[in-house]
Amino acid sequence: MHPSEATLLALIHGELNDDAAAAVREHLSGCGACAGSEAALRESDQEIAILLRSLDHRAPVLRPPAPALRPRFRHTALAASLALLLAGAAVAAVPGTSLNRWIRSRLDGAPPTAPRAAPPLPAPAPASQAQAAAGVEIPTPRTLVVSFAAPEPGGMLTVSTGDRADAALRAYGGDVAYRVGDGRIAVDNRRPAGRYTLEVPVTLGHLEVLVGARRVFDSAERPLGANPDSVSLSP
Amino acid sequence: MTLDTRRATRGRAVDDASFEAAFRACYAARFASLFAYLDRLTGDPDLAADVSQEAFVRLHRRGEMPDQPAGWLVAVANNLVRDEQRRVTRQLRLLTEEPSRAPSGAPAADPSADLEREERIGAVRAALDRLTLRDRQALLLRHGGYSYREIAAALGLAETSVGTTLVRAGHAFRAAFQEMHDASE
Repeated sequence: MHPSEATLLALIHGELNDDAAAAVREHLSGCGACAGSEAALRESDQEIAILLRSLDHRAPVLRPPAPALRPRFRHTALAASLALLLAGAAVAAVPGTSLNRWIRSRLDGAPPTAPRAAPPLPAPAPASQAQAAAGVEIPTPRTLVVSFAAPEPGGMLTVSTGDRADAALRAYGGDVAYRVGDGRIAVDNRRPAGRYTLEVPVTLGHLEVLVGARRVFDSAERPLGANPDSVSLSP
Repeated sequence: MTLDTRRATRGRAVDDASFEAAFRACYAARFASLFAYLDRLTGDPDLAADVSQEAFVRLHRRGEMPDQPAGWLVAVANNLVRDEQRRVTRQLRLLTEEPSRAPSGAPAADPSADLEREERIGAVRAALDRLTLRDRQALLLRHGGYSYREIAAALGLAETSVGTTLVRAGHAFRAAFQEMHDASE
């Protein structure tokens, strides 16, 4: 039975599980018609990607939002603020006086008032400090080769450019190790993270991404645009 | 304070800390792709930036991470865009729309190349506009790096139907673009 176009596209997108992908590949190796359909779909997908890239604007550099204090913090924070204010007065208040009793009554049950905005959140921690993302940086590379030791079913690398001097690769989850050489980052992803981001300088001359011995991205063929590009790390 | 209350308070503090860490990681990993999707969807980078920011504000207000954060953010952003477009449509009955900002990329050196580029962008956008909203959103999400599972969560589709949607959207987009391109020559 021939695979549907949706199945072929899922194969191209790295969305099939290992068994399904192997079965489809085996079919393609013996079916010229389906192999032709797969090649046409792949070409079409790449053309669409290029056309859509022409719409891109550069992403703004923004800090994480500074939303209002979340409800669960409000009473605690307000009670603490009130406690600080009243503590000064309490120092001057004679124990046992009506003022002292009033302070105690306020501290025991601060009434809720309108929420106030929290101060802005600090910018995300650098990769080396963040709990959820661990990564590595290379200063001012002219060209860069990132090689993943093994494919990852459903794994995705998001490549973006920015006004920065260094290249930074981050893994979100998993237990990934890095080796850094001259313009090269080797990623030991045998305990896969599933999601990676690579930020490179806009001035980077050439970028190549390898999964094992297979080249999955080459900026000479797919120029880096203003917006992030996704590279599948699937087998 | 009873022992149980102390335990509950300590547990809540741990939850808050882990939410903050998860939120920051999500922001670092997801803001750019959400902006890129909305930029392509709306053609308005300012609106895309505002809506992206607002979607993350709503996630923070929520106080806990959804099962599919990327899909959740896109679903919220899609609703915000829809609301904004309704508002703008009302305003446009009275006002003349200002030309939108030109997309980024190397500026063309000569006017004819500039014109060609503008025509191409116009054809891409017109072809996208020919698609149904769901097909357009699915196509843009996929080409913005979203997984099938995330697309399904964002658009309320079954994950098994995402591939079919993408095939249909891809064919329709290419046919529409070809028609626009042929018409302009």
